Amino acid sequence: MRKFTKFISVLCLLAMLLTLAGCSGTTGGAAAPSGSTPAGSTPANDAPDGDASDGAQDVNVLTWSNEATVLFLKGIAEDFHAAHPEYNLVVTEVPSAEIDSVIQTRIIAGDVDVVSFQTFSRPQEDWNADSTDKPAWQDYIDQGLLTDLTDQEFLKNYNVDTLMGNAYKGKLYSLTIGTVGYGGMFYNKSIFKELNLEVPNTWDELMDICETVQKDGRYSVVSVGAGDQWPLNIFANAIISANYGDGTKEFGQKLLTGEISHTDPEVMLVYNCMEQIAGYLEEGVLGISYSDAPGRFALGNMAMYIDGTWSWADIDKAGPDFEYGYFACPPVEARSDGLVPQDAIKYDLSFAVPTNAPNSPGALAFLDYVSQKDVYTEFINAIGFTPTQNDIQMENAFLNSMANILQKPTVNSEMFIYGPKGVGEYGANQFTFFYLKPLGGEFDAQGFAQMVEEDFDAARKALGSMN
Amino acid sequence: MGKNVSPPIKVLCYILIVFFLFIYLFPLFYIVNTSLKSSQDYLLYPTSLTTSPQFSNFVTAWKKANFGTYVWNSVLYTLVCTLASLFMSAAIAFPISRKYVPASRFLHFLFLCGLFLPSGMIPTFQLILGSGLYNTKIGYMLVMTGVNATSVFFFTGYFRDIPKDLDEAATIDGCGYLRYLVQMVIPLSKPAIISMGMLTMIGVWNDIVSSTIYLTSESNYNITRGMFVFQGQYSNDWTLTAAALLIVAAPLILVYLFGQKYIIDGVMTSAVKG
Amino acid sequence: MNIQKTAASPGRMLNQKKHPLRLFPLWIVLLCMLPGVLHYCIFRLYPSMMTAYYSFTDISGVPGTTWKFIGLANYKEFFILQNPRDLKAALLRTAAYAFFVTIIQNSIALLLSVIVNSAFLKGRNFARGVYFMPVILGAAVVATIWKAIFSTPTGPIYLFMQNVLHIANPPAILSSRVYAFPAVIAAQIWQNMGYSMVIFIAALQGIDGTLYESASIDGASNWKMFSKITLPLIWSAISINTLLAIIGSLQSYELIMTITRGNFNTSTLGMMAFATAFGGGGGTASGAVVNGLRQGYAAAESMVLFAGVLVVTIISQILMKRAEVER
Repeated sequence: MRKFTKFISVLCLLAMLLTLAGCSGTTGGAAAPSGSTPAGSTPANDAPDGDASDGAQDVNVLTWSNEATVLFLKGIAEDFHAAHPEYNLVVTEVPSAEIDSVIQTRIIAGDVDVVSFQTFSRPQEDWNADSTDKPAWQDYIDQGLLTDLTDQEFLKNYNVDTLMGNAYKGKLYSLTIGTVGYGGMFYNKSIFKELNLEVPNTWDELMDICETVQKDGRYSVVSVGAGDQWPLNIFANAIISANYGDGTKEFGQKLLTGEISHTDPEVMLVYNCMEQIAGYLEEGVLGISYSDAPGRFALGNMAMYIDGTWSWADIDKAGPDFEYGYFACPPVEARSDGLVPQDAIKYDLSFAVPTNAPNSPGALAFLDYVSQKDVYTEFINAIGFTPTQNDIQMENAFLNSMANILQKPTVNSEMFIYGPKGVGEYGANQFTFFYLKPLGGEFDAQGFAQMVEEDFDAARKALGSMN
Repeated sequence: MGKNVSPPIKVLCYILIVFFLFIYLFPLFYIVNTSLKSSQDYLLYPTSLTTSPQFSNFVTAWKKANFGTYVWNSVLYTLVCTLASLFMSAAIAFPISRKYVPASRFLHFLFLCGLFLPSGMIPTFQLILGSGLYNTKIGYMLVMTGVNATSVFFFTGYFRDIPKDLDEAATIDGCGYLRYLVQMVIPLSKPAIISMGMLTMIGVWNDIVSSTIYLTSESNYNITRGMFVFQGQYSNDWTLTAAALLIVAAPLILVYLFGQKYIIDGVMTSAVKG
Repeated sequence: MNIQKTAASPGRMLNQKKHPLRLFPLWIVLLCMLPGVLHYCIFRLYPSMMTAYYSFTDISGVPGTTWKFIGLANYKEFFILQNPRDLKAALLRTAAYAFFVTIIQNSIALLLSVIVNSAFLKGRNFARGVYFMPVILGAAVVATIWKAIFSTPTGPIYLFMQNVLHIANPPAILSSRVYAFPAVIAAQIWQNMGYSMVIFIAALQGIDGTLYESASIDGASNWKMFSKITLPLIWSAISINTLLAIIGSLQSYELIMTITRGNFNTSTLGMMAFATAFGGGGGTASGAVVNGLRQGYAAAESMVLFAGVLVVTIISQILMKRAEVER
């Protein structure tokens, strides 16, 4: 009977050894990119590839759930493998709401080769080092976790000026595939024609349009997928970008340092615009979820619809014959350079390569691959963003029509609008529509501005007492 | 309550019971109904009874949510963690109940502490990260396995009821300890094992917090997390989400239907012990 | 409170000996215990202690980053730097979560278990089975059910508000800074009421039926029987349920995490610690996202929570004892 005990003990030992071998294999494989994968252990995430036997290494690309992006990337996996037989493309998608924390955990666990970012916004610089938190992306770069792409060969395919808008300390840590505009709104061309309306050049003209549509009474004036909150809040950024343009950075600085107060006229201008447009939003707007919103616009009974330019694909899908256009949020005072209101853009889908990527040559090969003009053209057309390479033929008429609002685009204001460390709820949400009365909040424009300023004040004082 | 309850009170009692039954059953019913609707039907009449059940929703949800991979992960996690937890708890509880080891009382106390100590979520994470087990199946299972204090106490109570004569008989027959534990003690306390086993299984299958923290690759997701992610991706496709939800809940409901007695027994006892 | 069967066993008699026979070799007994004890020490005791230690450091969830001892800075940041209004609101919210869950969950559970336990009711097993169901469904499933029920604009609650109550612009409950929190509380109660109920039923079943018979012969009213016989006899169950609900709801954040991710003013202290450590909304009292997986700070938040749980537990136990004595 002792034999039985021994047998079990040996079995347990064996099992333990096996599991240990298994896990060391996984981590070992990740840590040694050039070595071949140890026998008997397969890296955790190569389930879909059947080519493990030919010794090809995975290039793990992490991106957020965006159907077009994910489909395209998964679609080019075969061609990529054909072009680089030594690599396999593996795409992992994460819900948008989780992307930041997943990037955070995986970038440094060192098991991903390409990660996706958007705009590198709100950097901590000398002037605000004590008063703001460092954003995650900056932390990565400062800790040397992202590869400097500035001297990469494939950059020559791009409009480097555009890319550099997303640079940090003069160096490029991410390759922006496309930009999107969300500084404006879509409009229904046939309603505008019917009511003799023109695309507005000033805020007052926009208000006149709203008033006209409301008086007419047949159509709802403005709608937005407010059920998800953020689609409406981005319009606050649009208002700031429209009015401050290239001065937005300075505006954000002054707000943070207290040089201007939220109740000063130049900030109240923003709050007042927010309050005014909120008054024209469709009834029941709080119940409209973002995913339904483009389809509802395509039904043709609303005059304007607040969303980012990327939604053209959903609108087209919902109403193939529906005619619509897009204009940027107009400033209170018409532009002095005579241009129509210019869009505020955001750097969307940008690829970065962690320095601890298990397969950084593969990651760079992937970036090089998608940068080839033909692949890039296909990519940018599939995702429907504004290209960052020059002279790209866009198939989509809507995207081509945006040229006149992209002559002097500004980077979206959210990049520069800070809240101080430890700031209270109102201050942290300083330009959020949902604290305003028409949207279920408890404040009018003035009252909200006051609450925000109080929170800023309190935070500045607390910071002073801490240091 | 006594047997002679006046009719008005009886009626009131029935009203209350039925009212709460509605509150508990309506959401489940709504989910089942939604899962069987075509998305067109759902958008037009979300609350109407479905007339032509779309069982294909389940197939679509299964495929789109990639449950084919996740379900096996979940089965693996559930089986391994449950068996390991049960074995570890039993192997600790038995000697304690018999005082076969020195300092049984201290051990008992040690495990009692576990009930009151704060959760060590952050150091556990650091531990897993530091040992390179982050985002691995092994690391996740290590975290999800556990010598639960309640099961130790639950087992201790049960094992005491096993006559000690049996231990003696076993040693006389030359039966080894491990074999005795696995082949005699555990089968003899079947109700306790099943109760704790089911509770552990349910806990592991349902886990969302640890899988969120420790599992980042899709190839490691458990089905619960898969469902959760799917819901995030198809946030307004409620027909598919409902179907995915029912797929995840089906094994739980089956286990519940057949093992209700054990589960409730386990809950009662562990609560009282705790 | 001895609900468990305590049938005396013949084995007990033999156990009386002071030095039990070593029937099995000690080394094999210990060897078998080893995995469990090791696992328990490594994954339960050690992390639990280390939380306190980490709360005085700036350790982050990002491996490879250096970390150091920073004294009370995390606690200072929590209590001084945070906006006092929001901090107060967050602490109150945590307390309110525990308070409402405890009171409502136990009241409903007590009421229903008394009814379900009464002799005249038909289909009581069915009822009990249904009420208990959400306990086994788990947070992710319950949260998804809740999201479906409260979804806009096709969810039944939204339609009810719009078409039956005729509210012109119904709020999206789960993304409302006002209504999301009560909805999460309701979800918590909905999920765990059955658990409390089962414990109450167990206690009720332990009451000797003849007590009621003799009382009803004496002409006692139903209420009198309930307050004079039932309540005192199940007081320990009430005490346990209260304790479980308080501790459970103070610490639990699964439903908050799965339903609102801590957004829309639903974050409690437990959720704040989780979000700070692992990312997500509601890591600070203001609801802002905390960058950089600041686990040292999260550990400090956990310690504040732990202190709170300790105090509340002790107070509630004293109160329950006192109430018991007064009966």
